[in-house]
Amino acid sequence: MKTIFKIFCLFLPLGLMGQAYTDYIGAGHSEGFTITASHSMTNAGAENSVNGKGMDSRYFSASRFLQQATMGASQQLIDDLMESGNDFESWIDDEFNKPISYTQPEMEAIWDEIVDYYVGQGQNAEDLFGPYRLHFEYAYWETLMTNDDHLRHKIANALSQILVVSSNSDLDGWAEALTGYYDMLLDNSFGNYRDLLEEVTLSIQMGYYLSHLNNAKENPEANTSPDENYAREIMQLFTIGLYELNPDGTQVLDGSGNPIPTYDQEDIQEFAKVFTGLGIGVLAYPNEWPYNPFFGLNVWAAKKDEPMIMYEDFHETEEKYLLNGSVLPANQPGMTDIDMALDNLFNHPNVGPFIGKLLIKRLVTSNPSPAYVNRVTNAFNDNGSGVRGDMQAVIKAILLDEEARSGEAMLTPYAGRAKEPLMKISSFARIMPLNVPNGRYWSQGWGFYNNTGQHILQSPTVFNFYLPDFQPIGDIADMDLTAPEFKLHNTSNAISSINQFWSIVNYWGGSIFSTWEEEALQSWVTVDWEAFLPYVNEPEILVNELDKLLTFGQLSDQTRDNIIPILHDTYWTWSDNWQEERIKAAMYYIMISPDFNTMK
Amino acid sequence: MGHHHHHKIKRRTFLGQASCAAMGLTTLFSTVLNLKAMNAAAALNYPNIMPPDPFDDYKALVCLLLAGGNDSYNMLIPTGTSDYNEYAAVRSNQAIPQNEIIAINPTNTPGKTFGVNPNMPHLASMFDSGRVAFISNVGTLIEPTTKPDVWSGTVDLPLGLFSHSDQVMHWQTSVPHDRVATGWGGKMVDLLNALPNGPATNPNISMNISLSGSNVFQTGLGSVEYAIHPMYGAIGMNGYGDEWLSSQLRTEAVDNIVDAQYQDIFKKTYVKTVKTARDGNIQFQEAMDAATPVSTEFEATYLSDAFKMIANTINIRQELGMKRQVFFVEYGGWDNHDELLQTQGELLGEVDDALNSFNLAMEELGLTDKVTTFSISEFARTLISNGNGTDHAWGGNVFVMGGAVDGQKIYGQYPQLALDSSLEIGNGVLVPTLSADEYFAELAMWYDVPASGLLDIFPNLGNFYSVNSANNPIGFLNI
Repeated sequence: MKTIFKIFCLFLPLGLMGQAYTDYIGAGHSEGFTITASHSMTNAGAENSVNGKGMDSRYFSASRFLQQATMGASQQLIDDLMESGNDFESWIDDEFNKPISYTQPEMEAIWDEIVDYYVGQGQNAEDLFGPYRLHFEYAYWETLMTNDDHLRHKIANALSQILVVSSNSDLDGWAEALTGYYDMLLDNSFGNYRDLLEEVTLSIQMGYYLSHLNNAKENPEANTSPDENYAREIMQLFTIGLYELNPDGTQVLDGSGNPIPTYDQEDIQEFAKVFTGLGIGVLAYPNEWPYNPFFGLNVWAAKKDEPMIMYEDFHETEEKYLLNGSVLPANQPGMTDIDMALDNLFNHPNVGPFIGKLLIKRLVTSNPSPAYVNRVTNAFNDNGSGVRGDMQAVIKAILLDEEARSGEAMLTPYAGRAKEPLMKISSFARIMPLNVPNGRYWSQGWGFYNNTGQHILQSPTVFNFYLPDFQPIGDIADMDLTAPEFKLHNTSNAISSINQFWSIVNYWGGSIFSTWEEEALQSWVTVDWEAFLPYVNEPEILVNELDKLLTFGQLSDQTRDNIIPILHDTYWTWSDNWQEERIKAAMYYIMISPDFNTMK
Repeated sequence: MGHHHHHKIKRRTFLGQASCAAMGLTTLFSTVLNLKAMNAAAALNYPNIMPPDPFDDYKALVCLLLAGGNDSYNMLIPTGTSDYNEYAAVRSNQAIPQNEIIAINPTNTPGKTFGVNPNMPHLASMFDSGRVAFISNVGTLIEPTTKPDVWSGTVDLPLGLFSHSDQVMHWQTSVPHDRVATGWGGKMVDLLNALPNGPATNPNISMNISLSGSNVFQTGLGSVEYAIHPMYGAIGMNGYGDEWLSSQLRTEAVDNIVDAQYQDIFKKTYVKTVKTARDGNIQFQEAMDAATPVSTEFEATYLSDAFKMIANTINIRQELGMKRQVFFVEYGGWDNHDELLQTQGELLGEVDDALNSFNLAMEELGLTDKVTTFSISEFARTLISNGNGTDHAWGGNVFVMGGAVDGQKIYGQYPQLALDSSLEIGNGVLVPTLSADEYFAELAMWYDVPASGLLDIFPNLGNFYSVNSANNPIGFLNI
C-alpha cells in the first residue's frame, strides 16, 4: 500500500494530484467488469482503477481515445483532453475546425533547403535527383511531428489505405504526386465521401495507378475496348465491395444461403465506358514541347498534382447501363457521365456499411459488432440533417460509439486490433521526450518499410498492405475473426520489426529519424533517455512511467513480471552506462511486448 | 444484377482477365484452404489437384534476380559474321568487340554461332559441358503477341511495360495483367504445403528461403519467405544469444516475453509468430554451427557469399527436415543507363564466379541433378545506345544451370538484332517470343508442382501452353 501511494504521488501528472474525480471506471462504470488484475504495482490494473488508487482512469481513458483518433498521443494532448474532462465530442469538433497542415509546402521547403545546401557545396542543381518519394517522406514526418491537426492526419492515413495509390510504382519518382494525393486526402477527411470519390477518380495519381489516364473509348477498327481496371476497383474497393450488404455489414444471402454479388463483368464493362476520355490536365513543363496537353500524352509530361480533364473525342458516347437499373443517356458530356456514375455508386446502400466498417477497422477494432457497424451506417446514410456521406458524422459515430469507448472492450479477448507498424513508430515518436539536435524530423522511410512492410502511401498493391478480412492462421482464424494488420507480422518481419525498434533505442547511437543526406542536413532524432534518470534506480517505477506513455496503463502483468527482474539485473559497477542501458532496455522490452503491439 | 441483359456482350470479354487478381487469388486461396481442411481420404475426391510425386527426394530451385534490367544481348551474343555485324551496327558504341567474345558451342542452332560476354568464362565452359542452357527472348506476356498486335492494340499488354517497379513485380508474380502482392514461388509453396502428402516441411522454417529479405516472389497466401543473411545466416533479433552480459539479459527478457501465456487473441497471435521465428532461427543456426561447411572455395563478393550461404543451407537440409526448398537472391546494379560496358561487365564477372563455385559446391554435395539455378531480370535493354548506356526494353535472354538442365542449347528463338526487324518496336525494344509463364511453369513442373495446379499459379499459362500436353513448355529441363 505504501508503494502504491508512492507511485501515485510521484508519477501522476501534477495537475491531477489531490483532486477527487467522480469518473473512475470504478465509480459507476464497473458493472459487469471481471476484475482480473491482481498486481498491486500496476498503474491501471482493473482493481486499482476500480478502487481509484491506481492510475487515474481519466488518463487511461483519454490516452486510449487518442490512440484511436490520432497517429499517436502526445503528453500535451492527453493533458489537454483530461483538462476538458474527457469531452471527446468537443475535442473532435475542435479538430474539425483546425487549419490543415499540408505536406506539399513542407516538401517544397525541404527540397529547396536540400538544393541550396548541395549547390553551396559546389554541386549542380540539375544533377540532384528529386524531389521524389524520399522528400515526401521527409515532409510527411516533419508534418506529423509538428502538426496540430491530429485527427485529420489519422483519417487521411485511414483513407490512404482504402483509396490506395502507391509509390511502389512510377509515382515513386515524383514527390509532388505523393504530397498532392496525401494533401487531397487531408482536404477531404472531414468533407463528404462523394466529393472525395470524385477527387480521387479525377486525380492523375489514381489515373496513372489504376490506368484510366488516357483510357480511350472502344475502337472497333483496332478492336480495342476501354480499360476495365478502375471500373473494377472503384466498385470492389472504393465504394460497394463484392457482395450485397445489410446495413450492419453482414452479407445479404439468397434463398440458398449464398452471398449475392454486387456487380458482374458486364457492369465492369459499362463502368469502364464511363471512365474514358480522361487525360492530362496541366503540363509539368509548359515552356517545352508539347505546349498543350493532349489525350494520350504520357504521364511523364503531366503536372503530377493537377487533376485529369475530359477529352470528349475519346469519351464513349453510347448509353451506359449502371447499377440498380440506372442508364446514362447517349452523347452526354464525359464529365456528366462520370458525375452521374459516381452518384450511382455513392447512393448504393452498400457504401455506408462497406466504407464504415473499413474505417472502424482502421481506427478502433478489427471485429466490430454488427450493431456498431449499423450505427455507423446510419450516420453515413444521414448525418441528422438529411446529408449522406458526411465524414464528420461518420467519424463521430465511429469514435464516440459505446463499443469504441467502453472500457469493457479491453477485457473482451477479440476486441481491439493489432497495431499497424506506422502507428508503432509515430505513437512512440509523438509521446516520448526527444532530442532533436538539428530541429528537423525528416525521416527516410526505406529502412522502416523494408523492416515492417509499411510506410505511408507505399502499399505493395491497390489491395493495401493487408486485406480487411485477413485471418492469421490459428486462434483468430479458428474463431472466424479478422486481424488485417497481422498480415505484416510474419516470421520474417516479426523479427525485422523488433530489430527496427532496436535501431531506435539501442545504446550505440540508435535514432528514430535520420536522413540520407550529409551531416549538415541530418535529423538524428533520438529518444531523450535522460528524462527517465529520476526513476532509474527503481525499475518498477521506470516501467510504470513507460507504461503510461507507451501502453497507456495496459502493460500486462506477464510483461511486467518478466522484465522487471531483468531490469534489476541490468546493473554493473564498472561504469555508469548501465543507467542508459536499463532505461533503453525497458523501452525496448515494452516495444516488443504484445501489449505495445496491440491496441485494446 | 441482371438488369441489362439486353445490351450486347462485348466481343472480347477476356475470360482470362475477367477473373483477374481477386478471383484468381481467391481460387488458389480456397483450394489451399480446402486442402488444408481435408484429410487425405477426402482429398482424393478433389479431382483437380492430385499429387503425382511422393516427394521423397530432395530438390531445390535457386532464383537469381538481376535487378535493374540486365542487358542480356551483351551477355549472349551472336558471332556469325552477318549476325555480329548487325549486332555491332545496332549497338554502336555499346557493342562488345568480336575478338573479346568467348565462343560457345550450342548443339541446337544450326548455321548460327554464339558467344558470351568476355567476363563469363566459367559460364561458357559450363554451357559447353551441358550444365548450362540459355533461353532467348523471354519476357512478360499476357497472351501471344506480335509486333503488329502491339501497334494495333489488339492484345492485352503487361501493365507498366518498361517500368522497373511493374516489370520486376511481374517477373516475380507471373501475373502481368495486374499488380498483385503474391509471387509464384510463394504460391507454389502454398500449393505443395497444402497437398495431403506433400513434401516434408519444417514448422518454423519456410520452404522459401530468401537471401535478400522480403520479396514478392516468395510471398504466398499462406506462407512467406524465411530470410537469412548472405554472410551470417539466421537473422535473429539483434544481440539475441550473444555472450556478453548485456545481450544475455536481453535474450532472457525476450524469451520471457515470448514464452508467456496470453488470453487475448491478438497478444497470443503476436507472441506465437515471434516465437516461431525465434525457434526457427535457433534451429537454423544450431544446425549450421554443427555442420561441416562445404569446402568449395567461393570468391569474397556479395553474390558469392550469398551462393555459399545457399550451398551451406542445402548442406543442412536433413537437419532442417527439408525435402524441397526455393532460394531467392536479388543482385542489383543492372540499370546501366550509363557506363554499361564497364559496369555490366563487372557484374557479369561476379555472377560468373558465383555460379561456377556454386556448381562445384553442388558437385561436392552430390546434388548437381537436384538443384536448378535460374536467372530473372525485369527486362532486357534497348539495342540502341543512348550514348553511354542503354534504356529499358522488354524481351531478353536468361540462363539456367544444373544437372537437370538439358544444356549446351539455346532455347527459344534468338532474335534478329536490328531496328525494323519483325520483333523490334522502337529503339531496339524486342517483343518477347517466349512468355515468362512458359519459363516458370517448366521450372515448377520439375519441382513437382502437379500439372493440375499450374493454372492456379500461372493464370495466363493456358494462352501459351496446354497443361495436359505431353511435352514441357520449353524443354530445357529433364523432367
